[in-house]
Amino acid sequence: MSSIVGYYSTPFGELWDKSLDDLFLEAATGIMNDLQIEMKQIDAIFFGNMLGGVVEKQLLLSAHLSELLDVNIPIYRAEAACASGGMAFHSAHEYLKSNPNKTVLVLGAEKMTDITASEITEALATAASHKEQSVGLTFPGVYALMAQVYLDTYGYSEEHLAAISVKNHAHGVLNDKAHFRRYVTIDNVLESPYVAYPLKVLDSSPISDGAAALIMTNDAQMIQNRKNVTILASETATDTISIAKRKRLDEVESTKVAGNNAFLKAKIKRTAIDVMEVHDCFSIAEILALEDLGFWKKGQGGKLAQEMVTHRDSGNNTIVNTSGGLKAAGHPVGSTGIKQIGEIYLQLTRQAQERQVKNALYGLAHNVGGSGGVAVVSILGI
Amino acid sequence: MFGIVDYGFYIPKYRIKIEDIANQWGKCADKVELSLRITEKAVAGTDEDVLTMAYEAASSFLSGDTKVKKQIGAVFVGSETFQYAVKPTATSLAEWLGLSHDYLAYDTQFACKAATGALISALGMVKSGDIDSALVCATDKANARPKDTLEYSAGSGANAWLVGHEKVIAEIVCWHSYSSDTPDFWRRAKSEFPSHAGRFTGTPAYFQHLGEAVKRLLHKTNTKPSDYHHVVFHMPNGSFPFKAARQLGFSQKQMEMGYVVPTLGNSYSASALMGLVAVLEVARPGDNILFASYGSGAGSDAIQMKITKHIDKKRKQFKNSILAKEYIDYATYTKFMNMK
Amino acid sequence: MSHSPVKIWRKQKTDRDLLGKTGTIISWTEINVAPPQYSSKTPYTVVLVKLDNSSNIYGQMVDFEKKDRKIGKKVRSILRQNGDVGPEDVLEYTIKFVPLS
Repeated sequence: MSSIVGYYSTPFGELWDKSLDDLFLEAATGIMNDLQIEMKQIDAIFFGNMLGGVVEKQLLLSAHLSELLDVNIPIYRAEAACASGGMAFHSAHEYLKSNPNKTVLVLGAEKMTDITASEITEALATAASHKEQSVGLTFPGVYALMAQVYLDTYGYSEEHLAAISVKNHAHGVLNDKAHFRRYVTIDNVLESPYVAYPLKVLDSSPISDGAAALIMTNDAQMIQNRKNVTILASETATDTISIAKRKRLDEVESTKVAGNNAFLKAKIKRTAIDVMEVHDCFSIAEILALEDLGFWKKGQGGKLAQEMVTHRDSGNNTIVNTSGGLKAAGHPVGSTGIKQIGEIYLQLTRQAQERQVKNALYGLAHNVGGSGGVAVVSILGI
Repeated sequence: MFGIVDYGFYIPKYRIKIEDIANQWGKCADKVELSLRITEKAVAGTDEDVLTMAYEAASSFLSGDTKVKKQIGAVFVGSETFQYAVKPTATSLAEWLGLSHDYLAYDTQFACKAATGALISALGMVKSGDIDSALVCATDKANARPKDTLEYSAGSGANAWLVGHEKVIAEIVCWHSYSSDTPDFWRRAKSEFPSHAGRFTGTPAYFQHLGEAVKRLLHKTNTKPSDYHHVVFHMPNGSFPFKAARQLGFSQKQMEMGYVVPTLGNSYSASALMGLVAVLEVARPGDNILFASYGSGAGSDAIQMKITKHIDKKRKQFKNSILAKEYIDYATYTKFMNMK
Repeated sequence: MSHSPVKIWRKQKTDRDLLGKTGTIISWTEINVAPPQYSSKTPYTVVLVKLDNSSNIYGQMVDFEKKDRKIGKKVRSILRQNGDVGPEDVLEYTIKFVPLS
């Protein structure tokens, strides 16, 4: 079994004076200092980043990290669009499963605010298929097509979607690293301008900079005397790049497959999960996630979202997105998957401060790439 | 027998009223409409251009028919608003239509008579037996400098003509082309808008060339004005064609069916031919048609056609189909015309 | 990055086979924030269409009234320009959809 022994995050937001290299460096040195670990104790680095090549015109980021951290150890990049962080974590876990007594540094970083809204829209659309891009269908547009089918099939309206944003913003107020720390109302969401009908600005996660880091290990000495959680499962699954090729538009197959496999591996029931970080790149995505992960019945999501059943104040057993989700915490793409694991780690080790959910023993992180082309579902326990 | 075997047309659904353009520039709408005799013109949308319109016109009659498509041995496109100074629209059109690769292609420009010249050349190639049939398209998304008089008339439209020898519907009996170097209207290679020489575009230009081409054709064919059932003259505005008709001895009644400019505007290379489309909707076997285009720069192609019994199988509905329209305002017009 | 003429040429061959087809709208959206190639065209509508006897394809929908823009509406494919390109670039054409009257 492998464990997570530490987590560090930069603030997420518009970090004008930080470059991508700065963000990587801050997350890496931040966690090393917090845990009092030296680079020579790290056997390998796994990192997630989506847009280095597209926006920064920089590939071979592993060499950047080698330079920044003054190391020659193996460094692996995971790119799976918005699941880059989750895939970095997953890959690190696979590495530890086959390499005993190792300690790895897992990083996620993204720099998104150096370019215009139109340019970042174009950059993010690289996570959509060629066919989707070549008709001017943006990334929000792809999720909008899914939202339209969901709302039409099950008879819900934009108000049902808005409830997700309201909840996540309320959670984000308590997260000192969140991009947005303010409440929004259903009306605020409904009155915000449309990005891609029916998804509005306040249905959509923001464009953020940020970085996050984890230390993972299967070395008993490294775990000793440190707050740690056990990785019970980390599963990944894939699906078509184009939603046009899918059997259904009201579900994400990769989430279903990865989720089912994760629960089989972890050997726990869904009812045991106390906290979840799910991928709410758009409000509709969280509704689909709860259904696809098997927590809500297909088609019930709109109603349950409106009832705020996963809100920290609901009194229910499974609280979703205490970090504020992607919506309020922000979504520096390559960092999100790491942040999600980190938030579960903080919850299970009682370090979540004002966000703390009482007696959290099991947590789940759900990270999705693109419109569901990749999903990573990880279950942690204490 | 050689001539037109089939045809198609396309007019975009958008219209702008002349009064809306006039109001934009603080001109008296009534006076403008009265002098130009145009009330509204057709405008192509923001993602339409000479290729997409030519495709609509040609595919309207060429869609399923593989045998006919593969027999086309020449593709000519006439326009004055090509998107490229170098790269033929004709080959793009042929490719999208799915023709063979065994054809001669070129684009032509001669202001508003770009396509009729190509029609005559195509006829020659078919008559000589070098090719079986030819596709000739006229297409324009005509623009004009804002506030210029041309802005009231410059419109969009396209038509496509299959020239051949089998089951000809309108025989091309005889033609005469009259040309000279007359700088009445032009557009420099790198300019966005055309320019013109004002009143010089009248007597020494339009009337001289169209008049002479028609007169010399009548002489050649030993016919007189009253021999013709329908007459179509190029329509740069609503008044020139009637004035020419009066000068040459044709009646308003003969001009009636082909007179399409008041509600469509002047679609430049497709303009006179659009009048022919309107005539073919109603013409009867045995009718004599006199057709004359005019291109600034300058020249006129006058053509005598005779309608055959095959017209009934191929005539297309025109008058009613152009009634489906949507009005746009001046701001939308500038967006559609991609004006900077 | 400028538009690759080779990519355009290759795509045209498959786009041509999609011309003149009919289908039904499965889903639609209206884009307000667009990448540079389409910025001047916003807002524009994108539809996902199930072609009759064939697969699902994407396309922009043009020349329609709001009442036509709904799941289940029948449409047909036509040829139109695809967004804006630079002044020196080769133009791109593609299929778009209009309502079937």
